[in-house]
Amino acid sequence: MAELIAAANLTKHYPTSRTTRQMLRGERPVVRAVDGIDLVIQRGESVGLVGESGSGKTTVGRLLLKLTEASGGTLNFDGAAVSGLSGDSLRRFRQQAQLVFQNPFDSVNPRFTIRRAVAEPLINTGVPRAERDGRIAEAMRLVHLGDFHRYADKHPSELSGGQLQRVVLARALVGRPSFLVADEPVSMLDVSVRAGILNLMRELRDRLGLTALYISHDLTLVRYVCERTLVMYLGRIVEDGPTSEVISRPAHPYTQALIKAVPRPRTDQSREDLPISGGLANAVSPPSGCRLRDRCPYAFARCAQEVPALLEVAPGHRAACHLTSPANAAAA
Amino acid sequence: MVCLTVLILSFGLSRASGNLAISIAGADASAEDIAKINHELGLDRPLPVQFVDWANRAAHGDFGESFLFHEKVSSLIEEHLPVTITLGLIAIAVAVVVAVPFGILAALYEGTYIDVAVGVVALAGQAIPSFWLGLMLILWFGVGLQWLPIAGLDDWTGYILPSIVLAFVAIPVMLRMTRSGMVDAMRSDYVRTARAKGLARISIVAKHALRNAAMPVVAVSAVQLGFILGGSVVTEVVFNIRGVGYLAWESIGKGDFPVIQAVVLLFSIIFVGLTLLSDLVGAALDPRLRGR
Amino acid sequence: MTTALLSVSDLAVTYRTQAGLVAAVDGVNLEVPAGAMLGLVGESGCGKTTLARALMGVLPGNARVSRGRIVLDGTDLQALSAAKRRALLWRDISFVPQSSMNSLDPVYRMRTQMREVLCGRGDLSRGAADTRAADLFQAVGLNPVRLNDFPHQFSGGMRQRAAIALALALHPKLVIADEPVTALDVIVQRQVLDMLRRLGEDMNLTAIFVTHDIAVVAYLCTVTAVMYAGRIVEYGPTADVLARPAHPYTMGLMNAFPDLEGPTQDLAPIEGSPPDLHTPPTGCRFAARCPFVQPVCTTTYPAPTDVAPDHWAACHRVGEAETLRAQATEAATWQS
Repeated sequence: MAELIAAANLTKHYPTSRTTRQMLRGERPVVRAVDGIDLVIQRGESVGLVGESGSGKTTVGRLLLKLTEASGGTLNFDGAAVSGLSGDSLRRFRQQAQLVFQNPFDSVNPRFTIRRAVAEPLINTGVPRAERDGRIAEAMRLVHLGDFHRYADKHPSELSGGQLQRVVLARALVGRPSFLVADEPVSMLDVSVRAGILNLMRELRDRLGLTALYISHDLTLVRYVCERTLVMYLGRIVEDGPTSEVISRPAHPYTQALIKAVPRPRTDQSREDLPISGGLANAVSPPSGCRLRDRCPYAFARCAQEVPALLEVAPGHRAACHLTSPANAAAA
Repeated sequence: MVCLTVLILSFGLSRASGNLAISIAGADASAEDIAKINHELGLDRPLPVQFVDWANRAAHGDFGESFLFHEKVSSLIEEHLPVTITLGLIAIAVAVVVAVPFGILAALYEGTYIDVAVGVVALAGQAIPSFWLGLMLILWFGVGLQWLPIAGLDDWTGYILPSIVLAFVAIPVMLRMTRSGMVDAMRSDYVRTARAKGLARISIVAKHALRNAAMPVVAVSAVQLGFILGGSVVTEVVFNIRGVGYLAWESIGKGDFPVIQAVVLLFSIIFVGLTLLSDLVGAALDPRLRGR
Repeated sequence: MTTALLSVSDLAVTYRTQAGLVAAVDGVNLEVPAGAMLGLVGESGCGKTTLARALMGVLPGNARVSRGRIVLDGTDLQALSAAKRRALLWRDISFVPQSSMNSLDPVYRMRTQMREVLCGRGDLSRGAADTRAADLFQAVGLNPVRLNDFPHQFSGGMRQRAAIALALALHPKLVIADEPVTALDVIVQRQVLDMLRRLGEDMNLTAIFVTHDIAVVAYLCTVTAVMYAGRIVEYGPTADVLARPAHPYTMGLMNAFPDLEGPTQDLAPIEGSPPDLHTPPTGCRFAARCPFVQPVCTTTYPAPTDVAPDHWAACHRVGEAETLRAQATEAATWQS
């Protein structure tokens, strides 16, 4: 099975507070955190999921790991429906799908030694004690903390952020998972340390053939590690394609603005005005049709009437925009 | 919900302990006399029946008659309530006047002797039982120095000692809350901004730190008033003050059910009301809690 | 030579901690010309935030300036009495805090907070203050109607704009901004950066931007100072420092920074961590991690040496900067 993850029309709504009038009418406003996304991740792929706050990218990560239940749509992991998993099959899924978080100091029990922390998944899945040490050492070597005895009995507070994030990765990998979700894995680390973790993630991709989803607001990180990139805005995927394509030839106005907005480490960078305006739209009652239309300089009548579908603009590269999708334009 | 639960529990418990008929008839009454009194008072009916009957009447404002005093319960309470309320309000005022300034001082001089002394007082206040404190104060100030009356409320001086004792129900909590609230506020980002603005220290402490730290303290003082009223049972007895607390103690001791029920209902309503007041005050002071 | 608006000489700031005294800032020399936007770059623990607070005069209780001078527009700030120093705050030198939830007092409306500085510190009447507040809000791209709101009703980007408006209220000579755009979304960040750039030009602002993000510095700042382990290790016009770094640490930073354009070269992390400032090393503080280290580096602290007009670096091998730069771009150089 080449497809490891397959999501169709995946949706997650959160109910929010309502006014008295709404309560009387029996209405319940919802925040459409993820609003019908189609997503396929092939085995061995490193996919980047990019978006700003409120885009729904973190929620997608949680949905894929079954940390929260979907409100609608289907999600398959390795051919089986995730919603149907329970008991043994659920346990196997949890072992196969791992998560790495933003803040390593929040992810590791401060009272555990490093050895105990990395052993956790093995203990949970009943791996015999004799085998554990070997597996832990192997995982620590993978993350370049090979001289394990230096760290084994230390506590998280004695390690630096970069070292601890490697420990977190080791813990995620010790169970030999097939899928990894990393949510802002380097944003809390210093620049000079980030590079090391990014290199490591690249290496894991190449050496282990690990299937991974990297969630980040930082396009530069995604560019470095991921061969495919998805861009999200207000709960929908607006662009999906090979990273190099998405960055050099962005098809969706939002992606174009994002790329323009990122500052470069060079003084001779472009400082022209961004094409889109204003701030994030209302997640509870977003604009009809295309959600970007109230900020988009190219919006025209159709944008308000019809939600643009994610269609091909180039081989393997799709965008959800009435203007740029030739299939859409042809149908217009 | 709270009131109802409290009522049902107290109804059951008070009936289960003590036998009113014996109190009325005397310790060596005959069995038939006791049975007769029980029947008269309707105490031989099944418990749920008694409760529903009482609740029904109470809803109409009729709390029945006290078994002991042969007066309407409602007028008994009317007589005794004002004293307790006055005492409670004075006590909470004393608590605020003592706890807040010292809490602020402890925070501003964090780590120094002042802070330690305040901490000791808070701990002592929490550990010392109020009846002991009351008796000690009576001994020192009433009997020993003869500055203050030892019992009763002949004039305004009679309020002093009991309100101090009651205040100590609330002081330790409010002292600690004020102190920690101020410590957090002084370390906060907005106080740092205020310092950077070049504002005078007084201004920073009063307008920014205190204003923020006070919100939870003010809200909590409403609930503390509830605890103070609860503490009035012991304190009024120690100082021989005829308030609702004294009434409660008497009626529990003698098994005077109608009075007990009514007093318990009263206290629970007051407590729930104060909790609600605390929430409202909190929302009034903190713009973040107001919602849109 | 234009006289600098701000001149810092041999500044040291010491913290009293449970483990002893730590000089978080240990001999900083810095000149900020009038009208310059200085980017103060460094990673966590380098002392940049402490330096910013020392300049403002708002160090926490357990820290003090242990030596050195700060001269703002001819006035020696350390020599002033506390009262005089406080009088300068916000009028001559003001502060834009990090975009945290709590940098603005949550219980007062923005209008009240603006009045606090405009009337209280600026001697304007209420009416005049309100007009000026409205003007300031417009200058930072906020609708003056929002002056009636509480800080929690603003989004992160708007809160930053409000904080900037507050900082500019009294026409200060110098503005210090502590990570002003970190924690903002990419698009909002760009909008705030553009607004800062525009304001800087319109008002001929002199500002210090403390940040860990080199790209932000490249976008916004005319001059750059790189800080490491309590000292400034490189200083110069941003274009020069970024394109032709002369200090190995700066070279390392540039190579650790992923870019959106150009080839996806191998990023090179700088192995190791900054020295423990409880017991600072003799000699160059970067020596332990520097790929170009030589014996002299561990014994003598390198004096700041010019590589170009107004561009200096504290490195013994400054003369070979070009060669070292070429080597630095190879990832292999950084692997110990």
